[in-house]
Amino acid sequence: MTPSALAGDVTVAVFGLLMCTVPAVTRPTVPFGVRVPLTHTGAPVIQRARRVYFWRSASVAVCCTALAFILSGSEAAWPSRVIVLLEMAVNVFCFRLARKKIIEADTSWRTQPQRFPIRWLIPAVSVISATIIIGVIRYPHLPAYLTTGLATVGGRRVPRSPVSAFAMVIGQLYVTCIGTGLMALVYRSRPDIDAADPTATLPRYRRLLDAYTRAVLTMLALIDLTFLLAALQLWGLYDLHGARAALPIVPALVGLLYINRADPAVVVPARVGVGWTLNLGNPTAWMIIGGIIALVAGLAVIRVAAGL
Amino acid sequence: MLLSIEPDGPVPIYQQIRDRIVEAIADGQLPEGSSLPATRQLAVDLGINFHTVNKAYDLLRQEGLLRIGRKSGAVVQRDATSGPPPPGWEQDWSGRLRTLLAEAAAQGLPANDVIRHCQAALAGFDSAGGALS
Repeated sequence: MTPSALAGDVTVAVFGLLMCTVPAVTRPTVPFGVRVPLTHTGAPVIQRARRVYFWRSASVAVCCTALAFILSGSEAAWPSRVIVLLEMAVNVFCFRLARKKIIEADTSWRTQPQRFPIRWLIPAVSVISATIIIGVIRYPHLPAYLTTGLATVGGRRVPRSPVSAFAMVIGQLYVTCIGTGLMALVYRSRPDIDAADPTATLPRYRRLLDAYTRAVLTMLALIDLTFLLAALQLWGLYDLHGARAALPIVPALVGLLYINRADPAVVVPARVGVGWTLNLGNPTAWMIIGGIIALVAGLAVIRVAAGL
Repeated sequence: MLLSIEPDGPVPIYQQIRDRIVEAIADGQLPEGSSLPATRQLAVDLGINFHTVNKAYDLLRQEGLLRIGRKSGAVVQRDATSGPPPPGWEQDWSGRLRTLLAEAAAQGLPANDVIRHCQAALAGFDSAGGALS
């Protein structure tokens, strides 16, 4: 037997040994990839699954090692490699057989559904309504050409039309509808039940979802406010050229947003709080936001379509 | 109500759903008039086919425990406080009970232990809110 063939045989044996010990080195609360409560780690069903897995994988290891030794006489390197792959596949199958899955659902999530905090949409709807009212009043007095864009400087001149004049309102409606629609989808999805504390999972999830939705709806109102400021600029009611120096105040006002077309940076340090924010004056930032929204929306649609 | 099922277990899934609901009614978690999720919603939550949930609900409806309406959905029709069971039910149930007791007898479980298990189960339903006393 050549040294390389012997090394191959030893690899098969060591790999088999390692596979036998997998349940011993994994966390006791996650046996075979299934999360169980701490009080159930010593349950008979789990002990039995461990024993069965050990004997199965040990048998596989012995058989594969014996086969590797028999075939090692050919002096080729491939038999041991093929046997390791075979050993791995059989052990994965044994591991899957050992999984005892228990699915839990809290029926009160459906029979007493969480109410969408619709009142928190009032700020966003108010801002959009105000923008529409100002736009309708201002529209007859608008010049023949409008300077479009969220920019503080520059921009493109386009003929006046309902679409060009109300572009910011369309943006407000789009962002608000997408954000609200995504949250509504979350309300229809199912919560994951924590096996360690199943009874407390749903109340905790309800509180988290409520707080998260309120935060998202508040953020939508702030984004709509940003659109309103841009619309005021578009309609000549708010001279951003003159107010350029005041722009750094905008992030302080809205808390989260930074708009500066003259700034080439896409990601900038947040002026309020800790962290980073996107420069909404940069088209790349809008592409990133659009990409994230498209990704989330796509995933949500796939989940709903797949009935997950 | 927490509904746990074991998809890979030996008991059919529809039977597991039916058994969990019966147990929840017995221990007072689902009193008379309680709503159950729509079949499709529960199927999505459990990751199973909705026909399986439908079969479980239909079984409970035949047993007189559920009322299924087009608008109201599945509603618990009776519980431990709803009075005596419908005529003929006790005879069916005693037949099934006989099989269950036969299992214990075949395994050699002493009669005293069988009675002790029965009393413990009944006491559990009673203390949890059922009205078997």
